Amino acid sequence: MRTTLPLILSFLIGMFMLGEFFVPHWRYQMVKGFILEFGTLLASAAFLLGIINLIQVNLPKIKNREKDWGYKALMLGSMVITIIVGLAEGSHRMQAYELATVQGSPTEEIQEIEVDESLKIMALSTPEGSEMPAVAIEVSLPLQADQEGIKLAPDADPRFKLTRRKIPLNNIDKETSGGTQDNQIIQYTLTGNKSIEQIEVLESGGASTLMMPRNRPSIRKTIAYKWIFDRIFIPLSATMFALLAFYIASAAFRAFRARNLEATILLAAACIVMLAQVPIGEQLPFIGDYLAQFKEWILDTPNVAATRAIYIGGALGAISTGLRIVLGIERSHLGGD
Amino acid sequence: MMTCFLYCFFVLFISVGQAAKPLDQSLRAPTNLKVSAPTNDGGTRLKIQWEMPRKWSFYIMDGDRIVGVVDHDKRAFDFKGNIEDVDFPDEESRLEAQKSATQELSNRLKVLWVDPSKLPTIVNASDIERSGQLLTHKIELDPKGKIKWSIPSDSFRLSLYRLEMPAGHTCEESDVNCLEKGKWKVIKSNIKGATREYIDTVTDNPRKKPPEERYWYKMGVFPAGPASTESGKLYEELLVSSMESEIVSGKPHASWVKKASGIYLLFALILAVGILMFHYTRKARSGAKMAIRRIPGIDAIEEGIGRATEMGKPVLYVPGIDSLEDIQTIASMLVLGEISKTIAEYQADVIVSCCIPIVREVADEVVKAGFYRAGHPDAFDPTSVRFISSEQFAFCAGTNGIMYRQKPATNIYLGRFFAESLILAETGYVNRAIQIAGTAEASQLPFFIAACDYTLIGEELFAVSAYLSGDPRLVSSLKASDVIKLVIVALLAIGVCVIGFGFKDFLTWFNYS
Repeated sequence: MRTTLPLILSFLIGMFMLGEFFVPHWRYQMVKGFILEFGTLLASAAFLLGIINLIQVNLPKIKNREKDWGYKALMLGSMVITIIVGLAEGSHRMQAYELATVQGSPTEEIQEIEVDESLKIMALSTPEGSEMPAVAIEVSLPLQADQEGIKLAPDADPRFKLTRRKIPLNNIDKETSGGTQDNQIIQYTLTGNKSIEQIEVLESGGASTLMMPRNRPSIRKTIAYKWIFDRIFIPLSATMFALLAFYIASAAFRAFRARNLEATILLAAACIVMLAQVPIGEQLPFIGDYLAQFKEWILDTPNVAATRAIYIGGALGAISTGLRIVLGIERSHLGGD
Repeated sequence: MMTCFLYCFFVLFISVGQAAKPLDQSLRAPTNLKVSAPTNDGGTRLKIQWEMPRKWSFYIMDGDRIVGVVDHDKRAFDFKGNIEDVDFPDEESRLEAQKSATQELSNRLKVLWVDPSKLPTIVNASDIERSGQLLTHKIELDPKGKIKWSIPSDSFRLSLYRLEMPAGHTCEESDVNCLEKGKWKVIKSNIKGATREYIDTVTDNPRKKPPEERYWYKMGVFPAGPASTESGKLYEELLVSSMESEIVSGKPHASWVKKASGIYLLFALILAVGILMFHYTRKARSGAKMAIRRIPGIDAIEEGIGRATEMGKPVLYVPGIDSLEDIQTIASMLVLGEISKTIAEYQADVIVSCCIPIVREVADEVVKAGFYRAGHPDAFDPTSVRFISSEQFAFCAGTNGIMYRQKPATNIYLGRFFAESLILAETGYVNRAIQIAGTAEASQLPFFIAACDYTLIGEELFAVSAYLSGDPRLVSSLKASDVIKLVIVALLAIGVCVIGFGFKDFLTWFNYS
């Protein structure tokens, strides 16, 4: 019974979830949604167990003054502070997230909008004919849009101020700016009364875009949580990520030592690609143009071929692993042979 | 002497002057409005299609020569102009020559709107000049020779309305009077003039039955501008300046089975893997020998555990940073079961560093079960499976800390990794641990290959648990996927040949939407 029930459950739920690819009916999707929500609930509950595990692992080490116990104390202390602040300001943060789901766009160019907690509004354009539904909005901010851009509404409260700033596109990720080919986008910043800290509206691709939440958010009360996130967590994460540059250099140094034929081919390919990526590569006499073409060939032909082979093999491996579990052939995760 | 290519086109805006007759700008409502349920839909969407009354062709003329014809819904044409190889003494004279060439081209180039029904069967330039209307709008040439233009009718926009009925009211298709009870709502405004269909999701929740049986639609056409660009406008306000289409209705239809050739193929693939697995499992049970090629990376796992035992140091196991839904994490958990059994047999220590809490819970059970299977349940240390952090780089920092403090002799990274892969692997390298990595994440493989002693590439990750267990039933599943791989390689070869011979429909067999 210890393994039979999990096996039956694995089979039933596994087969049901597999059916999702083949059955589009809303009733089927409803049951699937229920199962997924159940999974989300379990995963959320596991967070609590994760915290307990953190305490179980680290608290004894602090008590026993083991090596680097101070770091562990700092980590547990930070966790406690963040939890307290998060719980205290949680309802306000939830309000801000809720706002992020009820917005829309007045133009057909922009249909998907993300509003983060600080209300920086980012718009992603969707190709014409996309199946993504448009969301009509209720204009509640004192702005209006026309072909020339975004302006303050004539009846706007005089305390509101709208500023316009051009940002060169090379400073912004093209993806997040809707992949526009223009060399700049226009950023609007609305400053207003106490309930609106700052709302930024991005305009790109020549289309006026105006995005806004339905209600004026009151995010001022989430300052402590945001401060922890923006001033401590993000810089620390960025620091870790930045270390990658040095690790790449040391790993590349080892990988590019021409010890055998394969390593020599790797070295040659890497030199060509690196040289063609930088401006000096194009300026090289005689080979400049060929170098760029050869780089494209390396990236588009052998590289893509190998990557696809890995993906195809991986997909087949995934199918067979999935079937092994669903059909009960693989049982090691259940603790039995 | 500088040799340059003189290109006849680069970005410019030219107004091709002297308008003959102005283009008809009057608004006309869409016609032939049709509402249908999209194929393979769950019963929550409706497809609305329409036509615009005008149809025309664009003729592109270089002087008195017709250089191209495009349909009414196109606004671009690839113009292959002349490229002359000319020598110039300096950059200034090249630019001068380019300017005059552009001027010359702009004087010659024309785009004419023509109603095809007014043309004779055999068309010549004079017919076009006589029946066509010269486009007076901006024409743009890009450096690759593509001409783009817009026409006044592009300046109209369409709006789509849906009838919102009061709760409990439904209207039958024949009962048009019933429509008065409902209220029209703008569901999509600012639709471009060239658009001919829109898919409307009739319910907010695609996992619930749509609130109404039948949905009614109509469309309006507006001049482009502020009036039609504000989505928040009320239907009544928009109505003032619109022309409207007929009212049509449709019912959503929920399909139980998706019908697409790609879906059938996917089903066949899964079925084939399943049948082959059963076939090889039966063969294995009857005593047939299941051979599997040696994979050095997997063999090294046991060596690594032995090394850790000899050195009296732990084995560090990282199951990636993705959640439990990911198949790579699931495969990693299966491998962890086998590895923890071996570790328990060797009486070594293991540290499992987890990024996702639910993965930690499963890993905890799996390691416990591994120690149990090895006959050493008492050797299991509950703090050996650790939750570090669910944030990528915090997890990375925490795991690096374990490597620096506890100096594991062997690091095993199996699962799905992202940017942290190299940070982890390089830290392990600096600590002189034997490192075995495996992932199906192609972008991270080069990092693991550079920094680890052994790397399991793609599918090898999914073969580890079967390989380690040596169970013929599990090995048989590898056989099944190998057979399918052969079929796929054959299909690829066939596909290359077939498409090479021009049979492009071959690709549609794989369409799954």
